[in-house]
Amino acid sequence: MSFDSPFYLLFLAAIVLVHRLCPVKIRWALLLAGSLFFYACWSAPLTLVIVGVILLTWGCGLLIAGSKTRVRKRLWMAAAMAGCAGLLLWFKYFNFLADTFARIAGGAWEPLDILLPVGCSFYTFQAASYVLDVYRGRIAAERHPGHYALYIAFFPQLVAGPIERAEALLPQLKAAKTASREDARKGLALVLSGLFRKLVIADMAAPAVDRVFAAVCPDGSAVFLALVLFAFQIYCDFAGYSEIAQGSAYLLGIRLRRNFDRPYLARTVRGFWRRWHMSLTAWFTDYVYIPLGGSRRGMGRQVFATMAVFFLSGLWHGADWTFVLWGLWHGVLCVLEILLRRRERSGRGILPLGQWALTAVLILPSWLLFRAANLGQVSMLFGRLFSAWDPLAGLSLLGLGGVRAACLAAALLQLPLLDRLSRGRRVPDMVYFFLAACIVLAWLIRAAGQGANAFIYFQF
Amino acid sequence: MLTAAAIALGILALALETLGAWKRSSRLSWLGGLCFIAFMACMLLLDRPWEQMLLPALVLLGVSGWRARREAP
Repeated sequence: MSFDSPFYLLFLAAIVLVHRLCPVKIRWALLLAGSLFFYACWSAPLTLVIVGVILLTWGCGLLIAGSKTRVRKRLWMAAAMAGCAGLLLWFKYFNFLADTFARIAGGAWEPLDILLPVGCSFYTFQAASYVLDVYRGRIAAERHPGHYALYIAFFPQLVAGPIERAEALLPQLKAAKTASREDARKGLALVLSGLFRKLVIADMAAPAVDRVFAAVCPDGSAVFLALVLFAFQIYCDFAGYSEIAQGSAYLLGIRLRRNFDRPYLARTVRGFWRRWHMSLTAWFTDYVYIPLGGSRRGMGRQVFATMAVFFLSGLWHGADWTFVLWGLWHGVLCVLEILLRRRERSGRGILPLGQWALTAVLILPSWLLFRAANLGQVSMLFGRLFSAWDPLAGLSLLGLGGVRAACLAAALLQLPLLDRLSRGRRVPDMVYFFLAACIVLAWLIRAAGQGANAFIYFQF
Repeated sequence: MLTAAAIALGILALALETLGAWKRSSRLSWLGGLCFIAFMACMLLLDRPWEQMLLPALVLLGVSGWRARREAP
């Protein structure tokens, strides 16, 4: 059940209605049942995996809290971490690692048919953060298995985040308050904004990008335009998902953290990462960067911690060297900014504009690594970028007809309005009316031809 | 005939929406919305592609967004 399907909206409406009607004491059970049903719609057998993660981390949390000695606490924490890491290693990285070792040994690896559970990287990280917070004494271990299970499996953020912390989400799930009128307004605005980003912008850009990446020898201008379009596609795809998640939670009276804050307006690469997938950045900062020394133990340590974070971030995104290189590319850029003490300039003018342009130019090629199927394709397309450009041939390869191109351009111009909505600002009623009209029309366009595009981050 | 009606309704919707945004009048904006619905009905009867209806909807959304910016504190 994808967030961008009408079926999800019916499911959400039913859950919100029953949630309002049922007694506060049993709301957690309703949400947990709804969340497990939501997940089972993807794959019923793989629901067992998430149940396993819940039982393991809940049990280890209690054992850590009950342990008298530091060694025992560490032992149970290590057991939970090994369980989470082992799960990711098997489902996500086994074929990748086996293939890498086989290549080093000069052989070949026949990949095993392992089905990756949807949202595996997200819920294991969320569960790991709970165990680490209990181990550090930041939060008390949750004794109620139902509340804890709901914290991990809460359907709006189950399959692609935002990665929430127990200290923020668990108290809200326990309180199970009814959404206020203002919460409902904000929730609806976020759901509409998210659906618009996904259906009207991301899905309209996707076929053009796919065409260029499927071409044998595309024109340089086509590769450049496809990269620009992919930058907007992936942003609107993931930010759209995050907004639908946030909006769905708002309708249930629960506040999730923002995951995006206009990342392409950043004037440094570090600034970009403070605005892009903010919940993952915060996770890596708290559980990897700071424990490795952060910025308090000298420049060398800071460089090492930064590179470690971006190496792991790349690997988290996908089991392929393209993702690892994508992470390292961003890591190198951040390290250069640290060494050159480059900071975001505030205000307007030539210098901040130049900073913004330089950041955009540095980030754009990294999307090639993210989107390409393998390193061979990366090198081919990168080479094509510097070949002769024939803009007319490029535009024809993208396959964006006159009306479609105009629709995409008009939709991209709405991004400032969508940002207002995602910040919870009030807008005239007609904005909601025309947003809804655009979403329905985009659904009809999808039904008439191209078919649904899954959210990109579901694969992680 | 139907094509002419669709064009007229589309222009009327845009004009009312723009006027509504300019004067900050919800009534004019809603009238624009009604004209847009009538425009959609005509386009449906004409069996036009959905993209040709999406573009005017996006333009009208842009006009409403302009009003939102005007009304921002």
